[in-house]
Amino acid sequence: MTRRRRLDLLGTVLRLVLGGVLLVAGALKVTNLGASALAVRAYQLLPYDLAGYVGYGLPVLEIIVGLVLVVGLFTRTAAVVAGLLMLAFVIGISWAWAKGLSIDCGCFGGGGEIAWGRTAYPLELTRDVALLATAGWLVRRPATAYALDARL
Amino acid sequence: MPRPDATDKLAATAPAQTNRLIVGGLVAILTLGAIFAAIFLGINNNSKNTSTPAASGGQSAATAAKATPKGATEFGGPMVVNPGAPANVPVLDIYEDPQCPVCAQFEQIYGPTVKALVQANAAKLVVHTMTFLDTNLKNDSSVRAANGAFCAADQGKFYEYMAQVYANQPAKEGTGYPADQLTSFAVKAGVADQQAWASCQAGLTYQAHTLALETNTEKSGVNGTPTVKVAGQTLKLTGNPADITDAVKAATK
Repeated sequence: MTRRRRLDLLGTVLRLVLGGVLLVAGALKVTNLGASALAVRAYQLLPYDLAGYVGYGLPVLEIIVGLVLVVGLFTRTAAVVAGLLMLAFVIGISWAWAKGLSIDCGCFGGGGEIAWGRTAYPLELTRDVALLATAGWLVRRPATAYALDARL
Repeated sequence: MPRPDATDKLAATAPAQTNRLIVGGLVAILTLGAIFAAIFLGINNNSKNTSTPAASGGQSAATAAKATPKGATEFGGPMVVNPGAPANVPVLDIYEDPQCPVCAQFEQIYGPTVKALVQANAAKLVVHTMTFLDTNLKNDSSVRAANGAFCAADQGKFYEYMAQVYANQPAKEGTGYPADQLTSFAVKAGVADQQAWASCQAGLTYQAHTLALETNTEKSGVNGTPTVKVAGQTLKLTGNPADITDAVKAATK
């Protein structure tokens, strides 16, 4: 296997991981948009109405970006969007942690206030930073194996 | 030497470029459309929840829309349990959702202490009944239980009714409160005029008030239950009733 082929395959794995996580996260939230809006409000970061719009729209965006990544269409553009999403999540979770809020990130549905000592900020941040790095890799090197990009 | 003709090469890449543009444009339009549709759907659901007062129960929609239970500060405002508390004692704000399991635990641990404070008028108890768990659990039990408590409030039994709700909360979150159980709470809470309570409950007279209260509470920055504030300061609950008594003592002038 050439070095290039190996890197393409690594890219495929990263693309599937990033896209898969986004797809699952969006799908788990899209069935209850009201709860998604509540989860965004629990961050106390955005004004009431804007937080609602984000809560309603975000699951759909996650699903589409996830799908596009999984099939390997417009990998670089999709990775840029995914990276921006992860950056926003990292900022949001850090804010909640710094502000001393006791919430679940609501990343995969749920969300809102939880008992003290049940928060998982370090884990949530580590996961999102890792996914941010994954997106960064795909932005720099969007060529991957088994991608629909090649057929376009 | 003539330059190599690039026409063939250009022709080979041109359709691919066009394809990318078309597919890319389609995906972009679809994405934006879907996001706007979701936002529209969300807003629509939300406003349907907050603007449809139950018009049944013999009341016109107009009067039901702004119906405010006795003891509430205003339409969409919290319930003042002991308005007779003197001015030197602090306000004790409690935020609870009828379906929140930790709230039932809170009532079990802190309930007697809070009740004693109220009876002694050592704190002015203000209860903010929240109902967001209806959204999370996809049922309407919190709104119906809250409405039941507000109907009881008209007969001075709000606090007693809520005590019944938390003491009899279903073991499994999401099971909710059947209608006949909410009626039994009214009996156990000592609501004198059961007929008036039943008609108020059947018409969900205070549904609009309940939903407005939820929105107002969320806008005030409280997003979780149970939340307890003494003189405006959120308490950290440790499972010791002294959390509240100490804070109340410290805030009493």
